[in-house]
This record gives sequence, structure tokens and C-alpha cells, in this order.
Amino acid sequence: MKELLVIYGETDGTATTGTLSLNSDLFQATVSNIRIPRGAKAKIWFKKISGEAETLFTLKYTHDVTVATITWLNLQQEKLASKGEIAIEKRRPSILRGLTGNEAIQITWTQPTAAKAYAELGLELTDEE
Amino acid sequence: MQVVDSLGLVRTNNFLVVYLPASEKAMVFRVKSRANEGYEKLPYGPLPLTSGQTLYTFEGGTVTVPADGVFPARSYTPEALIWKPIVEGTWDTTDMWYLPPEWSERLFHLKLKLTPASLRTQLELPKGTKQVAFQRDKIILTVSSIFGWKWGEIEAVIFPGLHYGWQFANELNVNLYTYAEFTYAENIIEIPTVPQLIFDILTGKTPAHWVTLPCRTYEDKIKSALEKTYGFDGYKIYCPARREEAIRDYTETARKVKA
Repeated sequence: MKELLVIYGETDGTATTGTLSLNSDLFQATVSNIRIPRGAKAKIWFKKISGEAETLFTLKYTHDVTVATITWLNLQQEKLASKGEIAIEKRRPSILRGLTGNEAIQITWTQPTAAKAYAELGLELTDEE
Repeated sequence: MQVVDSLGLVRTNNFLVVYLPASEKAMVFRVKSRANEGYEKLPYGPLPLTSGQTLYTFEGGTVTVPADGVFPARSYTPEALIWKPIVEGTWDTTDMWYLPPEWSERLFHLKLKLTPASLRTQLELPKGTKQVAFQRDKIILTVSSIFGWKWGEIEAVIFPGLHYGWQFANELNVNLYTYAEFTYAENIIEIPTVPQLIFDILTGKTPAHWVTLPCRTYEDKIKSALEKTYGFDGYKIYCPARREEAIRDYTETARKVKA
């Protein structure tokens, strides 16, 4: 199994912090997090962030999204220092594992001043090494 | 030269073996020709899910399909689907892969590829019969079980006279647009009746492409469809050391094969 999804989210432009609503060409509705199936891996191949002002995007991971109080771990951060764009391509991807099927990822943002900013993630779901 | 081509379909004048574990018998076919040579791709489109249809959820509830072909988050089909024809005039108006037993010279060999590949699938043969189990029949495995299904693709050979059921599940927490593509061969086949050749094929001496269909329980419907179509329900598998017994059996069984 191997499926590369381009996941997209944007800040609302009014709040200085928040969780991205994630979308993709195969998503019929947006979601705030994406679960990783048991036995699968989520490989992050590329990231692209852009925006009108300074923005910190944080990729978060949880071992259990089904509990009432979810513990999110900060795994990766990308910071846009000012208006602009950053693209990061990875020769070797970051790998996030689905061990129980309850694992999930989400992306949050923090800004000193609210502004529109955008994040794009190349996320491959696979059961291969 | 390999038995299968780059699409994974059996080349002309090669052998296709379809093994049914429950009967411990195999149907052996010689592909005389591929009727759709060069035109093997069938972009079916979205899964045959209809807006308003009720599916079960992994959490134990139900959910409604929000739009045609959209798979709701964390859900699975409560009963197997059949591939509705996407063209008019198919032999069966509800099942595009169904062929009648009288069309015994035709045999569909197909490979289904799902988008996204994270969708689970499992085959029922015939529709309504769960064919995957663990520890004999102690645990029947369904598309919502932890294992006993495939992600994103499945290979099958469609025997005439049988409706196959297709189960699907979307374990992601996202409503997904879906797409199914088949790579298929409409083979024109014959059944070998020379005992030594059958023995060589089934013992691996003569190369053949093997497809094992999920079949833990040998339903009467399967047996009768095979007998009605081909005159018998398969050649037994023998250990290479039991050649004489096998040849005797194949000689007898081959007499039943419909010309």
C-alpha cells in the first residue's frame, strides 16, 4: 500500500493560534487531524509554508487520539520569519508510525500578529519500509 | 518468457491455475487468447456507494454515505458490494463481471486497484459468504477485523455463474473520494485434459500463474457453478511422488470436462 497525499491547510487570518483544518484532493471534508492506520507509516516527504507574516507551524503527533484528553507531542516546527515562502524537500522522509491505529497528526500555528499563512505537506501512507 | 506480462495478466498460450483451498482442487486453464489485448485498463470510477446508503462504523455505530462514491470516515460496508455496470448492455444488469455458465470459454482475470490505496478490501465468494478465517473457522475475519483483508488492491479470477461480493473499509478519520481501476483480461480459455500436462502444471514443472481465491468454505454454489460451467470442479493437487495415482485421477476427471 502506498498513497501520497498532498495535505493543505491555512490559518484563518484572525486568530494568532490555532489548529489547521486539513484538506486534500481526496478529502470530501476537512479534518483537524489525520489518523495513521495500524501497521502503516506516515512518511513526510516535503513541506511548504508561506504567508503574509511571521508564523510558526508545529507538526504534532499523538499516540492516542481516541482518549478524552489527547496528549500532543511537538515533533517538527517550521518558522516563517516574515512574509514569504519556504519549501523543504526531503531525500529521506520523516516517518510516523501507526502502532495501534490510534496515532494521529495535526498541525498548529502561532503568530505574533494574526495573518493569512499556508502549509502544505507531502504525506505518504504506506505499509512498506 | 514469463507466464504473465507487465500487467500481471497471463500471456497467450500460457497456463492460469485458480486454486480453491477449501476443496483442495485447482482449475487449470490454458489461455488461448486475450479478447481485449492492448485494452486492459478499465477506469471504473468511484466505488459503487450511493448517497444516503448506511454503512457501519469502526466505533460500532452507523453512518450515511454523504455523496455518491464518497467513503465516510472510519466506516465499512455492512454487506458486500457488487460492481454495477458502468456501460449498458452487460449480460447481467447488476454485476458487470458476471458471466453465465454457458459462456464457459470466457474467463475474467482482473486486478483491482483502489484510490486511495489506504482503503481496505476483501472478497466474498460467492457474495454473502465470508471466506477469510483464523484458526480453522474459530474466528471469521471481516473487512473490519484487525487483519484478514488487503489494502488497496486485489487479484481475482471470476468464474462464470457466480456473483462475487466485494467488501470495503475506510479506516482513516476522513471522508474520502474514491476511485477504482481494473486491469483485466477477458481470456478465451480451454481446459487441458492431458493428464501428464496437468500433473506437470500442478506440481510446478510446467510454469503457470497461480491465483488462490479466498475460500475457507466450499459452498455448494461454487461447486455447482464450476460443474455447470466446466463439467467438473477442479483437479486435485497431488504430491509429486504420487504421480501414478495423480495421472489415474486426472485421466478420469478429464473425461468430465465439457468440450
